[in-house]
Amino acid sequence: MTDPQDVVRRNFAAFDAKDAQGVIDTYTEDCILIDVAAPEPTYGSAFLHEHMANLSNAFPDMHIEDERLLTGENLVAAEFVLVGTHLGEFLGYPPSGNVIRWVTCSFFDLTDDNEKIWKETYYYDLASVTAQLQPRND
Amino acid sequence: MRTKACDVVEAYLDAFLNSRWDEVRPALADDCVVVDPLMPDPVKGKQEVMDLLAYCHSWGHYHGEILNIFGDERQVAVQLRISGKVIEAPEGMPDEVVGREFAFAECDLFQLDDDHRITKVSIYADVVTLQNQLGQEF
Repeated sequence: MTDPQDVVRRNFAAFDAKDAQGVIDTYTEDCILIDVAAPEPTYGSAFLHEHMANLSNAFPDMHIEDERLLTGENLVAAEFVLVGTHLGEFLGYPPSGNVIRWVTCSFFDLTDDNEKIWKETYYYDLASVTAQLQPRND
Repeated sequence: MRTKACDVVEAYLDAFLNSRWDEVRPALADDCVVVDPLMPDPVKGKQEVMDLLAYCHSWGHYHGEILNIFGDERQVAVQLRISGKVIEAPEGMPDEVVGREFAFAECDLFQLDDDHRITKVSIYADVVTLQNQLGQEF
């Protein structure tokens, strides 16, 4: 049986390498993505493509820092910080040039063989993200 | 994996959610830290954390459903569904919020010491979701 952390580490490595397809390949095609700040879940590879493109456009240098993983049965909890420079529109906010730190905890539910992510639930405080997208006066 | 640390955390959460402070206090290390999105800075020290927990219960009745709990002997991850009702207006909010019901997703990451006392709790939840349900900003 594959170590449950392997697929999450592959996901993070692909994200840091700006390899959108590599990230998408770590999920099942019909995956469920639950953003606790959004009213409804989203589904599947098509949304992931759009999500990765939006992030890449808004934060071209976005990468993962300070990751900490904890393993359950077909389940991994990952605490990490997305760090990137806000250089494109995001959530309706024009580019600010700010370096943002998006503190997140994701729970990755895995397939029985631990090879793919079939559900990701990501927890964060939206207000702390949007506060960092505001233009600074200094 | 289910460990003794998981049992300690589950007992702590049950005590907290039901305001059994005489059980909450000994579960915390003297130098424990709570990182809560409702607070601008981490809350440090057992008494300060106890004050924060008591404040939470001064304005709301809570029900918590544990969806997942796992970890090792020093770290525990918990996915929760929190619901409840406002019983007294939180600081800075008008009385009209009293009686409002709320429900939100939360995950907590716990760190424990060798004696299974809780040294750190990192809470991940979306404050905007709660604010929208109360119709007021914290």
